[in-house]
Amino acid sequence: MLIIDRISSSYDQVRVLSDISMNIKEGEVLGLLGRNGAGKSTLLKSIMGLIKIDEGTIRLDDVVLSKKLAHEIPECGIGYIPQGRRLFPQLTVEENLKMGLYTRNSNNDVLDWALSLFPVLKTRLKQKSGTLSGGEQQMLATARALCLKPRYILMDEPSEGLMPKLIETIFDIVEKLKSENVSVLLVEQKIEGTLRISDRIVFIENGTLKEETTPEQLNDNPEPLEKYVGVKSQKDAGSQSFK
Amino acid sequence: MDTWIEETLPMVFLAVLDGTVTAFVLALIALGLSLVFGVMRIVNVSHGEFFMLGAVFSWFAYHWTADSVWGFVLALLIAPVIVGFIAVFSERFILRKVEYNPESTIVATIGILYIIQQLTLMGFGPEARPVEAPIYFRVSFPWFGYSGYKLLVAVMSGLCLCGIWLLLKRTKLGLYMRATQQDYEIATTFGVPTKKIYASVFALGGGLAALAGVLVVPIRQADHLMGLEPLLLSFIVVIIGGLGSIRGTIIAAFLIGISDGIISVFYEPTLAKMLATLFVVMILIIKPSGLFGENYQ
Ligand SMILES: Nc1ncnc2c1ncn2[C@@H]1O[C@H](COP(=O)(O)OP(=O)(O)OP(=O)(O)O)[C@@H](O)[C@H]1O
Ligand SMILES: [Mg+2]
Repeated sequence: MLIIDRISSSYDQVRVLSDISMNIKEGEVLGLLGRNGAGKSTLLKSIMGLIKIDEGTIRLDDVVLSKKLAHEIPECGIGYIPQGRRLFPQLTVEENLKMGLYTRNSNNDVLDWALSLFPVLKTRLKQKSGTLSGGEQQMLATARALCLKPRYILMDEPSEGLMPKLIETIFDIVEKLKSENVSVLLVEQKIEGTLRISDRIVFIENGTLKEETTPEQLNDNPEPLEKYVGVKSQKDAGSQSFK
Repeated sequence: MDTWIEETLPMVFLAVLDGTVTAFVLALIALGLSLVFGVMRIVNVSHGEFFMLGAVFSWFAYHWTADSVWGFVLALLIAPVIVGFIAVFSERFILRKVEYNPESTIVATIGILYIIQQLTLMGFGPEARPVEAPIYFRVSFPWFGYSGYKLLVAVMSGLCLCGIWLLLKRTKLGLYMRATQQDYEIATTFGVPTKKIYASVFALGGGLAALAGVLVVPIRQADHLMGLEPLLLSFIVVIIGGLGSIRGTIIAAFLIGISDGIISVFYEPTLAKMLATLFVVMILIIKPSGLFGENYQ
């Protein structure tokens, strides 16, 4: 279990997250929703050790992640798909994938598995990743993180800028990962899809955790959706995301 | 007309030959500077001092062994390693302390420059000292003979450049260096110890400069101020080639080296440096990212 215990984070003295606690169980998909600037990406960066937390602890089972150096965290089996893809643009597709493979010395079966999820990448191994199309880049960012064979994967808006069909592919992959007992922390703007595949949902606003619920509960009472992400109901959320 | 060609052609040939040798050495030095800038985003003003240390170590090795061949071999093996350690030491205790901040590191590396220079002055003295070349033979061309050692310098520099290319393109360390250059934050999220990568890049840069110093010292002499000129020339090369671009650095080194050779033979060395500087100004105005500049992010 990944346990986030009362953490606070800030950028240059400005507090962005305060007193956030949540946990992600094994094989669970946890949807993290909130408005622009709520602190979703900051939370993911804090878990990855990219920003030092001011208070609290982050643990993976018995291991205290928040005491580790940033580069040691992925070695514990935590994969990260950053917002905006952030590929290594001058590296080829293959080299980007190698970065994932090297992290935990994954073997080539892992590479084959990741490529089987995104067959189009197989034909582009020697291409510089910066020249891929937006959708291809997102697939590569996902495949790259999968190459480290994560037990937990943090996805920051993986559907950003993708066409509806590809968004479905990404959500399908999340479900597939779940069936292989990989836990997913999913930050998304596509609310309908997120509600469909998540086991639980947490809402954050202004850097604090506001509500922890389930898609079923939101079905009965969609009020938090309106309050924290500004959509009236799940149906509304659907039309919004596939506009 | 015929006699003019007969007189000029050998001169051109000599100029190109000299220029090529310069270009190879310059490429080696500038590549170090370029790697350090590319990966660590710092301008290493003390880069020329690493070159100078290589030359000075070479002199010491020559004197300890009292043999030009063994001295050369010893310096070739040891000088880059010692200088690499000095680089790691200054990275660890100076650059890391200022968190690689661009402005602070310029000031810090100027400090490193003076420390190295003054320590060398104390231990080595102010005078220029010659080092004997490990081999003496002349390669004869139809019009003149040419120093075999200079050709050896070009070949060895060329081999080193290939070695670095292989390191960067074919090894895990090289991949980590390139990934860190492009996005160090994301590199960390794939388990890359970026601080260690910084240290290795700084050591590699220093080691390359030291190696160039060892190779060059038999052609000129060793003195504590000899780091300045290669520093300026490699800045010119790195700016023209495009900051952080390896291919650009090597191409620009040849551009500068060979044109320097030609202008120096037909006019004078000062004019060559002036034109190179003018060229830099033009590049900065027309294409600030350099001829082969790669814009990351
Ligand atoms: N590098 C930074 N320096 C200073 N402030 C930052 C930095 N990055 C983010 N912030 C601030 O922290 C707050 C939270 O940002 P964050 O990126 O975590 O939001 P988010 O929930 O991911 O938003 P979005 O949905 O737009 O991606 C914002 O107010 C933002 O301006
Ligand atoms: Mg975000």
